[in-house]
Amino acid sequence: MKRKALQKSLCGFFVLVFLFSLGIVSAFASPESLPSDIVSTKDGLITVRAPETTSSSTTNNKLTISAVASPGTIVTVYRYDGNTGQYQKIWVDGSPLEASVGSSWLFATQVDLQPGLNQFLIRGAWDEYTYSVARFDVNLLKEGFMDRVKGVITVIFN
Amino acid sequence: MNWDKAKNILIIFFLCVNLCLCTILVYLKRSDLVLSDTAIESTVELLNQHGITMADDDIIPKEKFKNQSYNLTAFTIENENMLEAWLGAGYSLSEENSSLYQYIYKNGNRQLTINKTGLLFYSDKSAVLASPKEEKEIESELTDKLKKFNLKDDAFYFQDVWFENGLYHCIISPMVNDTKIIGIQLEIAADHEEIISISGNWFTFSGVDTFENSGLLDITAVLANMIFLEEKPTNMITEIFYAAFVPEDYINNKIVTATPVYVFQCTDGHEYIFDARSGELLVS
Amino acid sequence: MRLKKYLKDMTLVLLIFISLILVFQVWFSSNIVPNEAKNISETFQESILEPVLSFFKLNKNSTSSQDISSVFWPQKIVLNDSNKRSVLYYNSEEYQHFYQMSEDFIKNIMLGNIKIKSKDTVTLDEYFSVLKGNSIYLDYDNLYDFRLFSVSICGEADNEWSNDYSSVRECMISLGDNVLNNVSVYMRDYKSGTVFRYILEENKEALEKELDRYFLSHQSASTLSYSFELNFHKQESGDGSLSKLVFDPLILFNLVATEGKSIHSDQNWFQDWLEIESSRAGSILNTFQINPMTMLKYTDMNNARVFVENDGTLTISPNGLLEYHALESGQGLRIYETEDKSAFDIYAAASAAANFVYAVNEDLPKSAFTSIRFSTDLIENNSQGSYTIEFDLCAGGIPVMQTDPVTGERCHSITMRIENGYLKQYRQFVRLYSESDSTEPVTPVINAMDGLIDTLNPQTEYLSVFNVSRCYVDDGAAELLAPQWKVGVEGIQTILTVK
Repeated sequence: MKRKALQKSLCGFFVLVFLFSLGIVSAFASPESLPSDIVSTKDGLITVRAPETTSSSTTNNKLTISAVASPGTIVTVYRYDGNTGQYQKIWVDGSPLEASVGSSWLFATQVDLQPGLNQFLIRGAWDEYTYSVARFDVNLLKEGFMDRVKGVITVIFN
Repeated sequence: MNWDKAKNILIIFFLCVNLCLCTILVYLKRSDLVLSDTAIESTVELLNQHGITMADDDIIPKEKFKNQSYNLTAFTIENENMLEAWLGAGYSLSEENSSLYQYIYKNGNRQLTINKTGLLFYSDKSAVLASPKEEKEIESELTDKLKKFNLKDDAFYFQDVWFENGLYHCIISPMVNDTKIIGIQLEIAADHEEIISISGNWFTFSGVDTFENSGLLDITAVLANMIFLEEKPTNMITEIFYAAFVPEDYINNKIVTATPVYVFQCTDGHEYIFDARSGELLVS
Repeated sequence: MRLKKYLKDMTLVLLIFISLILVFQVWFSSNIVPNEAKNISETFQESILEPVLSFFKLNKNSTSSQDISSVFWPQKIVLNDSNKRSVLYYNSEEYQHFYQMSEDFIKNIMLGNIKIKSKDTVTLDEYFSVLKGNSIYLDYDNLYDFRLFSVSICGEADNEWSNDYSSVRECMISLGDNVLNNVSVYMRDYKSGTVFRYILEENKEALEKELDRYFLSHQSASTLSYSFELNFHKQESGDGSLSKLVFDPLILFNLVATEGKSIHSDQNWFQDWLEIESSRAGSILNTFQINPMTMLKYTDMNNARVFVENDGTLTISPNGLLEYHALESGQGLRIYETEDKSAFDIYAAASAAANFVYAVNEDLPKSAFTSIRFSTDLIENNSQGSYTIEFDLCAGGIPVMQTDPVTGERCHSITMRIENGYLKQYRQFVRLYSESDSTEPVTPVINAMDGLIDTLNPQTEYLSVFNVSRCYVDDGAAELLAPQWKVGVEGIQTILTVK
């Protein structure tokens, strides 16, 4: 009888440990969406390296994002969704664009751009309450626009 | 024109020519194998002029030797039955450092230390001391005893023998096809009953490389070159022989090659070893 | 009567024949005929043929561009268009196709067959931005004396560009943007830091067509970014924050894990190969000018065969390690003929090294999967006349780093030390690699850097990384070698590899 009681209590203990650890993980996971007016709770946790400016234009439909953060920082990339008015976490092939920064202090990823204005937010977090955010916009120019530019330049050079 | 007669004359002519050619060929072949007396005489004369004397003209071997190198394999590595032969059945490994190829084996009062190609055998017993008169007797017994140690009598020669403190001592070196191998040796001490100690490095013959296209220097040429030595021999040269030599630096290797040399020994025991292929002085 | 006449004729013929044989025997001092016949041909070659041929040879050391180009080729070719990027390695068909095309193109410019419309210098930013558009980037991975580049491309060490360049590392062919139709070639002289742009009177259509064809047939998504695009080449950010790692601007980052082929290493083939035929060691000895008739030889306790000649010692180990050391008292092996020591510069040394490596490896078994290339910077240094030249054995175009049996550190497959035309030291890991069906993940460069920092635990403010490239590592034991990263860090002499 005693043995059964011991087994029960051990099982209970392991279930508790499992639930507790699950709680920690979910507490550290970045939220799926962030309000558009979100501000940093701690400055300097993350520095965006690329793109260099907070507003830029490109004809390339892939955008490379890079950042520098201290080891252990969870960096997540969000894109602004006009329908919800919130920044939504970006998912690619079933995985979020999210990584824990290692000893190199480096973070880099690539996102597909949609035609027109793309608004991004990078969140670097130590935990649920300690994070920095950085915003930038990238305007993907349409091919038609480039064709018009090409026409003008061709006329000038020929 | 009488063709028949002409043919007869031609046959006789070619017979004579062939006879002459055969004679020349035999002479040439012979000169390939032996040194001419004139060469030997003029060499001795040249050496005498430079103060290098020889016990006798006959000590210069007339034979021309083949350019051969002898491959020798370390006794400690290629000899599977060696341990049982040296220590007897029931031996055991006492110490080991296989990365350095060092082993110590024991069996009763016998101990064998192997250090790469080096051997140190010791039998811890009270020796049965003998008198110098018994030297020959012990020597003949020793040959049989060494056979039991896998050292066959046609594979070695006695380099030196002496009697000390009632024990028989000798140094043996390998011999391959009547050619002495210099640079490898075992020093042995024995009494009437058994071998008491063996120390040194030992190798067994495993093959020969013969270079047909390149002969050795004539021994007279090497002798004549002695006049250019900085330290010429002051004592009389008593013995000259062809041998194969293993330099000391290479002795701790698995397979070594003994290269052809000419050895000149002087009355004071001083020895000059010359490379028979290049004439270079290897050991003096 | 008839029979008698017949017998006389036969006797006469026989006697004439015998006399001829005897004369032949007498002439060649009675040795067996085949060896003497061989001697005749050797004597003829040495005494007559070679002097005559050398008389007509203008320069005995004239570098065979064939030998140079066989060991001098881009470590990788990167094809760029505005949205995609692809890396090609030596053994792929596409590499050979694009290399041949680019080589012909540059050669024609150097030889004046393609006219240069204009030549100017550009800024580094402009130079790097070439890689954002349609372009072909030939990355040689190390710094090379321009003459080596030139001779490998057009067969001549000197040409019109020689005045502009001292040392080069890469070459870019830009197909321009969508606007202009001209092709431009960009090259940077690393000594002066100047980047030259040659705008050519050549239509980009042919090259562009090939680039389009490639990207149409290779649709996989590109996740490659250059360090300058990620701004990882600057230590300081716009806000003043500092990086722990600073990368060369042209280092290519794979941002997600990709798949890389493992290779198979055959560990025992060399010993088997050597033992099958005794003449095989002989051909190696011949290259190292070791005379079997005068050498000393022995086999050491590790079964390595050691050959000693007047000038040096050659060791052939059963594991495929080939080592030559010149004796301290000797000069070494003469591999370059020169009376004037000042004429022996890095170009001469690299040429002589290439020829020698070619000669050594000529007799070794060849595999289409493996190739040899220069692996270290080959530019003039402060110790003129004394050079260490290294080569990598590449499997599938990717270098295989070897493991030094003494120090356990990573090293190149071939290392040569040459002093004033004499070979002082030579070490080669003779290896045989083959393709394997298995693949292993190639970690993103950033993750590899995390691992590197964890291993190094540097105490400096930051590390300057000048090279990150794919490699394999052969520790001499593993049979299946997975892809790894080779990292070059300023101030660290050893080769760093990380999974």
